[in-house]
Amino acid sequence: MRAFELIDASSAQHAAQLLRQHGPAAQAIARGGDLLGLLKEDVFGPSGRIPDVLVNLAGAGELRRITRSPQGLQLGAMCTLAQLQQMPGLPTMLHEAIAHIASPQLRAWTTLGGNLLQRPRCLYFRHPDIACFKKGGQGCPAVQGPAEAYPGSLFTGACHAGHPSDLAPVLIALQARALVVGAEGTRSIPLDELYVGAAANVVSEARLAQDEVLATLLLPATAHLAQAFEKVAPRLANEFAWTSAAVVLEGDEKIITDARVVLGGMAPAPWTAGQAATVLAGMQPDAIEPWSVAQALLPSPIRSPREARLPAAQLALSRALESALRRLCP
Amino acid sequence: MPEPLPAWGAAADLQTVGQPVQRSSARLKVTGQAEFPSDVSLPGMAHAVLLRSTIARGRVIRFDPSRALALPGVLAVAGPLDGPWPPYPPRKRPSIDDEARFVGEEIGVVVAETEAQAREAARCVGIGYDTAPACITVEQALAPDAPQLAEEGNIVRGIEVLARGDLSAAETAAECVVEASYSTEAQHHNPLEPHGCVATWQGEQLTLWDGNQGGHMIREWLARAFGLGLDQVRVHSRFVGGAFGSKIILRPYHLIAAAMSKRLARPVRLFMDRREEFIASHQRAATQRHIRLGATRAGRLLFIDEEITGQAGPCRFLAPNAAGAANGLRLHRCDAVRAQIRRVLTNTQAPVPFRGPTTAEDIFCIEQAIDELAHALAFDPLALRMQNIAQTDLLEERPYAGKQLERCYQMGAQAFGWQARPPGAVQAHGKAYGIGVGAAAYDATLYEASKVEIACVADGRIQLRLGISEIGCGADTVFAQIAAEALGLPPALIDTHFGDTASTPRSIDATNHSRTSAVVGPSVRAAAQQLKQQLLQSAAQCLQADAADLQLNEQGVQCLDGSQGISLPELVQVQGEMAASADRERPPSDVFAAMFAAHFVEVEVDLRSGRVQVLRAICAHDSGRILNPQLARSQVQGGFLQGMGMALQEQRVLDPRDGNMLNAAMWAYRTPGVLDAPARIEFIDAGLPDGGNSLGVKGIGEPPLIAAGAAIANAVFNAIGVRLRSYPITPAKVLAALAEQAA
Repeated sequence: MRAFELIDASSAQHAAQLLRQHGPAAQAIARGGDLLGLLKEDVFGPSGRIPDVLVNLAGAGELRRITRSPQGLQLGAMCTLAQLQQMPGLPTMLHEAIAHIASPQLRAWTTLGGNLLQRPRCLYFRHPDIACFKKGGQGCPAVQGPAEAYPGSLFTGACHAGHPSDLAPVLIALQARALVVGAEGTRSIPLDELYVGAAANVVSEARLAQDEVLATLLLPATAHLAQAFEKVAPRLANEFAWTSAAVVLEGDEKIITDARVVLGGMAPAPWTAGQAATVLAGMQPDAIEPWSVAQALLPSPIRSPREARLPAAQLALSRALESALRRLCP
Repeated sequence: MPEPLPAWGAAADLQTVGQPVQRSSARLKVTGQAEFPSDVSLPGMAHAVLLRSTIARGRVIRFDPSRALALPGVLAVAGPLDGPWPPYPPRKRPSIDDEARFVGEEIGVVVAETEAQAREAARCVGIGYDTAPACITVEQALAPDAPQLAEEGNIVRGIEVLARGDLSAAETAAECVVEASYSTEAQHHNPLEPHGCVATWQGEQLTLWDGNQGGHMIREWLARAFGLGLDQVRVHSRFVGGAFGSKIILRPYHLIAAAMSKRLARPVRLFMDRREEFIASHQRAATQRHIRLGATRAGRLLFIDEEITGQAGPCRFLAPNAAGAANGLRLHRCDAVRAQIRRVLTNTQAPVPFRGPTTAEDIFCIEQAIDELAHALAFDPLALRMQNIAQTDLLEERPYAGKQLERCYQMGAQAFGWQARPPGAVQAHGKAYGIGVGAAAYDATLYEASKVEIACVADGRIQLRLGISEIGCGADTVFAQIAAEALGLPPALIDTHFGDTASTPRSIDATNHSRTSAVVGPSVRAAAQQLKQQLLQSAAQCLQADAADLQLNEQGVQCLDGSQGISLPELVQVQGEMAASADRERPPSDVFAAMFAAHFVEVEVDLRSGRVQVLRAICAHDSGRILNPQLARSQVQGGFLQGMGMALQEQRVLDPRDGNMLNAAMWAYRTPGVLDAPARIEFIDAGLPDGGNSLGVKGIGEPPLIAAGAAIANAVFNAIGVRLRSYPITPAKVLAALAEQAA
């Protein structure tokens, strides 16, 4: 691991100023659950900048705050996953998703923001001696690689990695907004917009400027939503999702009025099932057969799915749908 | 070689042997006081990191250390031309060479003040290659236009044939024949403590702190490599953080650490990181098999005919580790057997022994084939096995020194409730449940000279000195139990000293092949018995009594009538320290010793995710006399889980285009986690004291892994009605098999 300078930021604003001051050589670090691994394993290609300066967010107390208001919840990006899991009154599927992440040790240490901004787990991306597209190399070596190493995307593009975060699909399905603090001000965007262009982005999966910090996640009030999360993975713990599915249903036991379905692990960014509302709205909950609805909502793969990715997606989605329906009509 | 002492038979009245004595290093280990080689820190110690090839085959033609040498803390950067690099005996290849034969092979070394500085500098060494076409897979190596990796061709050491009996007669007589192809995947050892050592010189005296399975053999090889006398090399290996077969032989890192220590005149520490463990510490070979079995309708096994291919890596010396068949052929009674074994050179890491080397791969497959035969004959798989138990070893043509496989079947089935379950699959809520059985045989061979010493020292305690390494199997505990039994003293009075070549006699080559207790144990008993006689006789002198009227116990040596006695510290004060030594006993020549086991497993298969969860396992073992049931149970549980990993999860992913290992990290190479483990792994001691040695012991280190795989695979078949012949049985393979079944 290359030596770096660690500078403590006292607030999101301070962190943004420090990032601007030190320029491209600087990067923000939350708890390092992912970033330290990348540094230790030397996962930087031609386009990867090994940071000389890490701006430490761990000391910024405001980033660990959880605030409730009639409009909804504000979750600081530096809240640990364990802290969120223990907090009563958070959306059900946020709890469900956190329970499936890594291990109790890692959940006690790693953060909400870190989870949302972690880099792909594609075996080619993580290999220190392979320069893939995401690290400034030519093309995606995974496409012609062995089936067991196929990283998951069912879509064509420059990168075929699946997005590794379990919390991103949950928060997108809950229509969260991201509050981003920059050196020149603060902006708020729908969380799914943070990931636009992830496949073609050679330095990150998120649209954050070099001097911006993901500060807070804003969740609208979700009182009447039926929701569920499912994850399908080869091991039960310490494992990234083949596919994760977050499902939100609005309505009652007679009729579904709206639905949102977001999948993780399927594409370089969390994947929103565009037809979810069209397919599900107007349906009677007890007329829904989750397995076939799941199939209808999934994309037709451009490339033949390998390593059971599509069945895994169908499984995660149908199970989440089933649980959400049960909650809609208890 | 001394004659064996009278055997401790089934009726022997033993006080300490067979008791669940607590592991003597347990407290040191859980409190962190046990010093492992990687804990060693010497004054002035420098840190070495190896440079490794990033190509699968070719030559280093450019080695530019200038950028690395300019970095802070860097003491030395050396490449293939900066030798001479000592060759690693018994091979002649230099420990650093310009020829690269797999991704990860040693091509240079960096030494710096800290490990971090050395790792950073290693990235800055400019290396250029002349790349040659490589064979990454066995298929590539066997293709007609494949690059030839050796003069003899890519099938190294020829085709080995193991054959007994009249195969064509057995084929003619067969009324039912099944045949299928199977494969096993390369498995990595993943010891918690990585491979490595600390080396230092004082003049011409070399000392190593090293994690190994036998310090004396490492010492002998080091002495040969550096042209030193044995007394000029000392190897410490007091505690070893896991080995599983991977720390038997001398490796390049031993020599490179020692060579750099000499050059720099400083102690040098060289330990691999986890990624290096995967790409350069070697592993179990990947194998393929085509198996044909024939039987009568009545269920009599007539023949086994198999063709085996093992991935041998680039090295002739290690190629025998690529594949074998003997233990699979001896498992069941059979009229004729033939195995044709091909070991194929590839530009991948060479295989090294791994818990049940070549046998686990073999029996994982052959025991599935036996299950297929049972299915074809409409036999209960257990009944078919019970009907084909051999009393004489087919390959060695000798009766067994002891064989309780039938008891393993019976006691295991009883504990499992084998008869209580319906034979077909049970399905509920998208899940299928199945049961399976798998047996194992493992030869109890490998005997070499094995000296031990035992002494009564100044404080009256008994010191047992063994030239072995303790890799976690409990050698620190069971030999004290044996000595205590022979002396008639409590084991707490005995200190076992091992893991230092300067202060121990040379025992076996290495703690391997599940034989440490069976080979070293009798030496311990014989030495302890001699010491007991010495103690009694010298006490007789002191007490002016007849030795026959004395007894040795916790208080010392006492007259049987209780009239007088002398404590051991007093006795040593008067008579001086007393010591005895013994070598291993002569093994019986008219019988063949082997270990046996039968595992019974229940699995749950998620029909939608394809995930297999083992619910419970009953592991019945014939390991002769069990010296310590607590340690035996730990061996069985660990072995079963390692076998379960190989059967269900563990898979090396190599890119067949360039030989890069893609999942060289613990998160990506899936060993079983706590949640993957079955709720219950129960050890059943189905053994009886064995005739192979005077203690009646056999091993229990390797059979638990060997027996696990097929039992799991057979249970999966029972659950879903489809055979998965390619290990590991991953969810993707299960789903693909279910889809094929549905189509």
